[in-house]
Amino acid sequence: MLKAIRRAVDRHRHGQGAYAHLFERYQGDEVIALDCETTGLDPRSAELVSIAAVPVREERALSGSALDIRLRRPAGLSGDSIRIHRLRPMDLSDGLSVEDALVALLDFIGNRPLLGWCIDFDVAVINRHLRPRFGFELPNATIEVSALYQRYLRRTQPDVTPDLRFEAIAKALSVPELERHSAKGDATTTALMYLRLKKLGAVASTN
Amino acid sequence: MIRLDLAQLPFSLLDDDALAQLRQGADVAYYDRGEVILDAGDVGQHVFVIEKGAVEELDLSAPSARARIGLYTHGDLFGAISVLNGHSRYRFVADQETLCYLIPGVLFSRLCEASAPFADYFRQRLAEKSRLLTEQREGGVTMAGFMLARVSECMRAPLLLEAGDTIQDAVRALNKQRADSVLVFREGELGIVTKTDMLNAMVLQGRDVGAALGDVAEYRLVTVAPDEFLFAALVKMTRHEVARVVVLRQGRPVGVVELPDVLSYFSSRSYVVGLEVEKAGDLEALALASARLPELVRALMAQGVKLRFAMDLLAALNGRIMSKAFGFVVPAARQAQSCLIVMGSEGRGEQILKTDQDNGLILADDVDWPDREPVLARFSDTLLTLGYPPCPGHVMVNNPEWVHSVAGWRARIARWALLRDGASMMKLAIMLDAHAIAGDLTLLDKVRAALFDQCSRDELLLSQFARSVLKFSTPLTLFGSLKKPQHGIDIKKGGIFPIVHGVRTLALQARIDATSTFVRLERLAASGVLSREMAEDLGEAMSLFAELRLHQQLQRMADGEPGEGSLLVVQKLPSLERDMLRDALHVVSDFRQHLSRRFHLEY
Repeated sequence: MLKAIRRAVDRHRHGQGAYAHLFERYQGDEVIALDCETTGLDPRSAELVSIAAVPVREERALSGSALDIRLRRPAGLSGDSIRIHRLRPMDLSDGLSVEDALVALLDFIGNRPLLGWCIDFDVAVINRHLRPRFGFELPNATIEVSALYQRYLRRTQPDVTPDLRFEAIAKALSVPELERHSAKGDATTTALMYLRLKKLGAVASTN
Repeated sequence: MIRLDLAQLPFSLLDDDALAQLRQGADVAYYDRGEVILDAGDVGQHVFVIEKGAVEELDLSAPSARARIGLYTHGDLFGAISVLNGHSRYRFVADQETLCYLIPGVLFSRLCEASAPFADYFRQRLAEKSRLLTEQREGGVTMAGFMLARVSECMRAPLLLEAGDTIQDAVRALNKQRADSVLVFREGELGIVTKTDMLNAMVLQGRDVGAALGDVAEYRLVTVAPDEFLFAALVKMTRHEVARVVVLRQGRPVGVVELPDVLSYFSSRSYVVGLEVEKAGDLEALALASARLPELVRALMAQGVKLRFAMDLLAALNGRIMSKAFGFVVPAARQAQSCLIVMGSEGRGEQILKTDQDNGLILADDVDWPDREPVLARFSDTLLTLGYPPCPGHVMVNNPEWVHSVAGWRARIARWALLRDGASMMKLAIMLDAHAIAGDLTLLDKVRAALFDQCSRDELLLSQFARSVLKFSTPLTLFGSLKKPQHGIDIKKGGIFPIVHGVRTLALQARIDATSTFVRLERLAASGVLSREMAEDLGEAMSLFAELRLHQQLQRMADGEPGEGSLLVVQKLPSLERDMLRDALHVVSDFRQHLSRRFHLEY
């Protein structure tokens, strides 16, 4: 409820601004598979390390023309997270500032729907940085791939308790995990899960 | 975003920078079973690499419903040709759920530009593929044959002299025995003296002709045993940089193997057969020599000799045999007044095993030879005993239809050109391939000139003449759908005939007097009638067809299964040959379209 009100307010405030197009209803049939690597799992404190956005068009994941951003070393880059995404401080020395990264991201995704595994987390982390700088949050529609999978499973195998972990879904849909824990790799894998579910008839038309 | 092993061909031809671009630039796509990935006629925008699943390649130009010409699975790559050509010739359909990496065409073209080997891999044309195949075959059959030969089959008897004998003695012995080296024993030790050793001793060391051999001999010998493989002897020669090895049996010299002997070991057989033909003083000797031709063909093929050269050699030998037979049967005075011609594949020099007798006779205009018929009948019978079966169409000198004076031939050619029915066209085609092998060879030139004058500028006649290239369809559609072994592709009708006849038509128009399809192609390319590329492709396709056909015929002979060898069972071919066959049939198909346009055959 609160979200809806916020969005309405954002739209009202920015409907005439530089980012007005973000608030328009999306008419096409593309989606953006989004994945962020962060310094932690708490959306209130996690800092962005890298962001990848892979467009999905027809039956293809356009990983070749994906957005793949690395950010400048955030304060919270610690040993724990380095072990997961393998980005050391030195790898991030020539990264973008959060500000520039968000501009690039907004330009790239436009008003296309965002697709992800636990997409709410990624959107929440981005929004935390977006609101203080731009005055609004991502207005894009979101598609949760694990929810699509759950719905598909409930229809085809009602007795099975779904395993909604990323690896489990990939395995069940026989999608290869391309580069686990790289933003672009995970985003592409997510895109493939989505394509697979679409073929299986588990995705309603995106319009 | 490619998880594939990029260390395999063709990606292994790329450098790290290009591989990084490839990893970064590839898209990924999912296709359901039955989904069309790339349709025939589509613009080729991507090169596809399969991560998972299988894709079949279908030829839609086939009248029959589905003609699967290829199947690709994990790690395979397709669509590259479509990107290079601009559009796809075939339809690619997912045979099961398939995950593909898509390399954008722009990126692919950039990689091709950056790496010549990578580009070559894809642009590998028919000629190069053919070379690969030959290499493969040479590596297989020839090496096997070579390795199976033993030293004892190829050694010369040793020439043994005493250590006290002089250089002069040695030279005399060498000349007498036509050898290159002598062996000497000195105090139980074996040494060798070559011509070079003696030359060095006399010229460089100033010894005289009376010097003892024992003093100039080389005692560090490279030796082999008689039952060792010949190949091992060659390896030893290469390793020790010597041109001969001594063959020892239990310490005793039993022979010498010379490098030239090893090298000529396999090619010597053609020489021997040729010699036997020339030496033959009567028909029986000729028949014996003639009977060895199939064996010669097999030996040449096993050595990986290019089929074209084998055919040339065989045509020359067959020509010599017939010419000799002609000399035995026909009186000398008559030989000078007439010209024996061979026609059909023999005229073109493209028969590989023995073919039918296709021959005729041209008489000089002023000759009166009333009792020729029994003589010519005897000649045909003679060829029969030499192993040339009669021509089913009866194109033979014992048929008066194919024996005329120059004026007579001119009149017949004029009549054929006027009639323009199927039989006349066929006779014109037969006559166009005529090749003179005995008698007064200039008589054929006169007849050929008449043929060119009559036909080469008559567009309507040429069009009519060319039409039969469309008679048999190219059997491209049959791939994959053949099941029973007796079914197969008729390589002669679907492949060889359209090339031979199309080239023949173009040669007629361009007044090219050569009869071999290969030479005609070269001349057509030289005079700009055909593009160099098309001529080369056609030549390679022609070689391939002939080679496949020959292998089949040899196989059947070995199995004791006589009969036509032109039906080719595609499934039995190794995949490289299958690919090449498909490419070659495409060349034929393109050529037919080219001819259709050129001679307006669409109507």
